[in-house]
Amino acid sequence: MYLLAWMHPLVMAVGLLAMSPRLWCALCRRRIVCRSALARGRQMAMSLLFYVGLSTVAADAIDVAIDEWRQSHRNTRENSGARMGRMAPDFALPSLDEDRTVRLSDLYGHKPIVLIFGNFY
Amino acid sequence: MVHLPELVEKYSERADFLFVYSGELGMSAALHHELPEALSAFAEPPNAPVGSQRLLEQRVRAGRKYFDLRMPCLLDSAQGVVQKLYGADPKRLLIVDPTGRIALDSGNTPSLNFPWKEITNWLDHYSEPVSHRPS
Repeated sequence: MYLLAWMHPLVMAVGLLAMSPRLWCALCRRRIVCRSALARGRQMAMSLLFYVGLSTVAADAIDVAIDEWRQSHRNTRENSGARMGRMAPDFALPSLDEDRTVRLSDLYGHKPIVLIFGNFY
Repeated sequence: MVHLPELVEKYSERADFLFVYSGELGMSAALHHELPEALSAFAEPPNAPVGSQRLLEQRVRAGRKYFDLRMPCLLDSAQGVVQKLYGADPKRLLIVDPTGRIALDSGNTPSLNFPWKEITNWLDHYSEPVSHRPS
């Protein structure tokens, strides 16, 4: 797979040349008078190379996309500072019910705190 | 949403519950979804800017009543400062032990589908001696 990944620009270039309908037709009409079994076999081989190259590129692109998504997801969670076993990041926010600000660290020492982040919309 | 009221009712003696209201999409985005009547009453016009705080308190009160969430509710800033601090994208549940350490983390979830079994298990075992608590 890695070998193919390194080779895919070359493979694609050759494959593209082979698959380009105009180019292929031009080559066929001018140089290959009779579409022999050999010519058809060559075309098929080129097509196969093209598709192998294309699928390799697609697989690479998908790999990169997945890696980037994982990385960004990991960044959100791991760099947030809110991780198991670590101190919960402290904050102070206005309460909906009372005209006061609630600080998380003020609640420590009594009971565990179930902290829920969410919205209704 | 179904499990949260039951959780609060059952464990309010053992734990403090805090709901941090954050990460609101804004009504222009939310109007694409079907809203319960109680919440629609507080809907802002479709062209309202995302994150508008105009009727935030009324909306949250209506939502809390509709979903029967009997717990203190804190309002995050329009920029979602605390939400970002916790990486809650957009919903997350954490249990913070009395020393301030995070003892359980639901991870991010698009809806309030938290791992209820794990949460209740932790809360059930919390009152037991330290040696029997789940790690």
